[in-house]
Amino acid sequence: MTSGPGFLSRRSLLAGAAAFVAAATAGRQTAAADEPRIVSLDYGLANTAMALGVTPVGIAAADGWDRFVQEPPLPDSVVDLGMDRLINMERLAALEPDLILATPYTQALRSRLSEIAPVLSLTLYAPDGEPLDRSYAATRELGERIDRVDAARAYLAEADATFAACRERIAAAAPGPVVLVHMIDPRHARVYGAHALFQNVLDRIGLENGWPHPTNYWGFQTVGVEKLAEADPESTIVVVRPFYEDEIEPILARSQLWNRLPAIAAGRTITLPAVLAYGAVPSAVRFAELITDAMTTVNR
Amino acid sequence: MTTPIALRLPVIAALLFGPAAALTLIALGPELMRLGAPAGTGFDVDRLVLLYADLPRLATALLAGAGLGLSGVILQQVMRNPLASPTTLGLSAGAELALSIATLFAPGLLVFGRDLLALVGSALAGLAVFAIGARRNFAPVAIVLAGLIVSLYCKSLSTILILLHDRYLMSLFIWGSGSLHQQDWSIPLDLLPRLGLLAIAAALLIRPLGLLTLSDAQARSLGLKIALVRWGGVAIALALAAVITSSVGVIGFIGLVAPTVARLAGARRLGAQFVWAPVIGAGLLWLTDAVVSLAAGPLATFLPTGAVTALFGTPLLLLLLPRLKASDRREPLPSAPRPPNTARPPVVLGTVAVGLAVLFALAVMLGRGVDGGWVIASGDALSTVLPWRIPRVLAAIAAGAMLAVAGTILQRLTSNEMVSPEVIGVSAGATMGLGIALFVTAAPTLTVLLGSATLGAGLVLVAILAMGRKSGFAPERIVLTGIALLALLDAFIGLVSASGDPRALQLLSWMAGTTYGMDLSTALISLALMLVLAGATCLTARWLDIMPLGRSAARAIGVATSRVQAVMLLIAVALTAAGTLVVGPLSFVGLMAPHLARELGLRRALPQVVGAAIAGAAIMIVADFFGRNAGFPYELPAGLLSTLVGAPFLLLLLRRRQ
Repeated sequence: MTSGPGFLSRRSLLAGAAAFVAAATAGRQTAAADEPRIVSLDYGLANTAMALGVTPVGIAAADGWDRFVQEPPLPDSVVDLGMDRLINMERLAALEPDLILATPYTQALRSRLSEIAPVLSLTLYAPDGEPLDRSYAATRELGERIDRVDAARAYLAEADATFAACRERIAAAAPGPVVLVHMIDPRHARVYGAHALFQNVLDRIGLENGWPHPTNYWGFQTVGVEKLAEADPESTIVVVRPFYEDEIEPILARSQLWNRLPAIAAGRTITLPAVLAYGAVPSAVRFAELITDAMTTVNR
Repeated sequence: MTTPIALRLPVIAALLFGPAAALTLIALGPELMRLGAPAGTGFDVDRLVLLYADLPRLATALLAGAGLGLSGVILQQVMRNPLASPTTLGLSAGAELALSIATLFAPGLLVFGRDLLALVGSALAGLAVFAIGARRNFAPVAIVLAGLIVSLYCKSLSTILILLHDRYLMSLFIWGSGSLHQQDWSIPLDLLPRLGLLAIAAALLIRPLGLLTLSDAQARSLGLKIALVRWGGVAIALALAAVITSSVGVIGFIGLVAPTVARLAGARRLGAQFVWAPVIGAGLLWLTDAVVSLAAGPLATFLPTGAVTALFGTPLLLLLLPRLKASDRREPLPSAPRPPNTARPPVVLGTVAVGLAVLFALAVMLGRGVDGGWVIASGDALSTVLPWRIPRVLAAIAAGAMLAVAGTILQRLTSNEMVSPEVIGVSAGATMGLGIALFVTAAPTLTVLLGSATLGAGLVLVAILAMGRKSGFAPERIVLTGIALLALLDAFIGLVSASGDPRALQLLSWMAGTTYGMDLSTALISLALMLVLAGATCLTARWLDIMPLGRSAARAIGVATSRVQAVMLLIAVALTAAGTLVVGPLSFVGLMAPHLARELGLRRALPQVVGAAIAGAAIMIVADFFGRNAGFPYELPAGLLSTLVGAPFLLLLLRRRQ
């Protein structure tokens, strides 16, 4: 069922080893080019640093990047630091980073991490505030910290422009509301709404969310598939990968309930490539572009 | 009660079905009314959900509840044990573990059918329970204890497997917590024929099973093939539990409660129990599910029915436990004569201590280099890795030794070799404290986490002492209460993890147990605490020599048993709390280390305590070593690995002794 490289697979170990050797040699050389050595314990922050032109030398759970983030592809030189809650400290220390990017989620590790390098803890998700606003703030703060203030400003302006362009295309196509789901299994789904990064994007590009129910502080709600029937009947069901495993699709294709959902029955369903649901500005931009492309061509 | 029996059972059933039907009608009534009317031309949401979600869900609840009730009644009759059930014998958890492993590591196996895999899993879990129970002459308390331990073991293993693959396997969380959500009729329609066939088979066994209440000799004189009937009954009960688990996940405690309620309501004869237990089981699950469906709306959260039944079931188990008193607690068979003890404790202890020192050196020096290759560190390289390795290895030693000493105390106090520090509830208390801290503070620091875990353990301790005072600190009650607490914790975790809350993963990663993140000062404090508490235990070794002889014998020698038990319990709880803070609540080191010490020939209390401490420390060092290196750069939790390291040893030793 797991598609990416296995947790303990020899391949990933060898790849990691090779990557490390490459990083140890190449990384040191580019250090001369004034590039700070950053490691990130969070995909979203790593993604942000890359958008500002600094590729981290190491990130947590690098083996899941292709499955969950996809864009931009992670260079082979990036060293895998292990699970985000159980970072491999010896390997992290050996990378001799100048800065460790973390979220409050790994707060318990803070004291040990700061023995290795200064820790910049940036909050993307919190009970108050919206993740996209926080991601903008985090981008600026990171820009200041790594001396990429102009790059941060430029990147955020570019993001604003992308959202605005998407907004125009959406307004022209008037595609109706969407319901954003991750399929957990054939009987259960996560639906995204208020406080989700996805929702912030919908607001920015002028797409309406057809999901009528409240969501938790990460912006999702876990529901039985039958609940999808309560969505606005004009909605398009948007299945966001990953979590749309091979065996789910055929079961849904046979399901009487699924096939009679108004959106499915009317053919209003699209499947998007993986977008990091708990990411930062780069994920928001990627999501905006993907959903705008899909929704402006969907059959109405 | 003078109500005629024939009346009471229908009354009970009505008390379950009435409210369930009422709740269902409130929810579905309007749509049900309109069902007769011709369908509208357009899309009708309510009708759609009623036909393809609500009604199949109702049917599934009724079928699963009835099946579990039947499974429970058969098990209780076969085992002559009023606490036997798919939950308390570990059958459901075994099925879950087998399916989790298959999903994760060998999806190809799923082509053989989920039912078959579930059956294999529950059969293995059942075998483990019976094997342990056989050593205690199938005493009901021992069986239930073994069952719950195997169940928790399976549950924790599957939880940890999910944890390690969390990003992929949210689905297993939900299924493990037992969700009855449906999106068409396929699940109830699959269940119906399977359960029907098994029910017919069970019906054919009613008469011979009924004769099992006679003594074995009497039954045999009536021409009954006892073994055949027993195994037939067990097979049907296993199959019922496996089929239900594979289609909707783990639904706890229905199989325990339904037959008990049926009996309490007057179903004396087995035939009546066979009818009423499934009826009551169906009613119970329907009622629970109706409440869950209704509550899920306003709570705006996802509630898996199985976790909720466990939440209800645990207090019921606690209520039922006293009914098992004296009459059901058969004495264990006198153990087989042991070979004379030729080992000289000082020699043995010296040898294992040297072994520990070697392990320590290896664990500190040998490791994976940053590029993933194996490296024996020395000189400069050593000084760069030491700050990361030393605290962890010291913490592993402290935690392993503390849990081992706690285990030795508890096993001697209860004369029960299946008791371990995990099962007295202190670790569950610590975990719940940690969980609360995670859920009320946005970004808890390590200090906050440890503080709240200590507080949780302390509260359980106070509860144990308060309750224990009444029973004269009877160890069995304390252990069973602790297990009930663990089951409650399990239900709680099932609830939060099924909703997809990321904080549940943090809780789980702590539960998986790890020396990860230890700094030197914390490790040294743990080590000092271990030395003080283990030292105190050594001073009281005489009591530990006497207590296994039994309370009356101890009293005759002039030991104030209640006070001694309270003191020893206090030490054990302190050791457990401190050890749990380091490696999490599910390490099982405390179960295995005392056995290892005894098998090394350390029979008397003092040498056994010291030997167990060394063995526990060694197991944890090895576990931590593998945890750091096996999946490099991915860390594996030492607590989980200690189970994998120690369990094979334990099994080997248990086999050898028979």
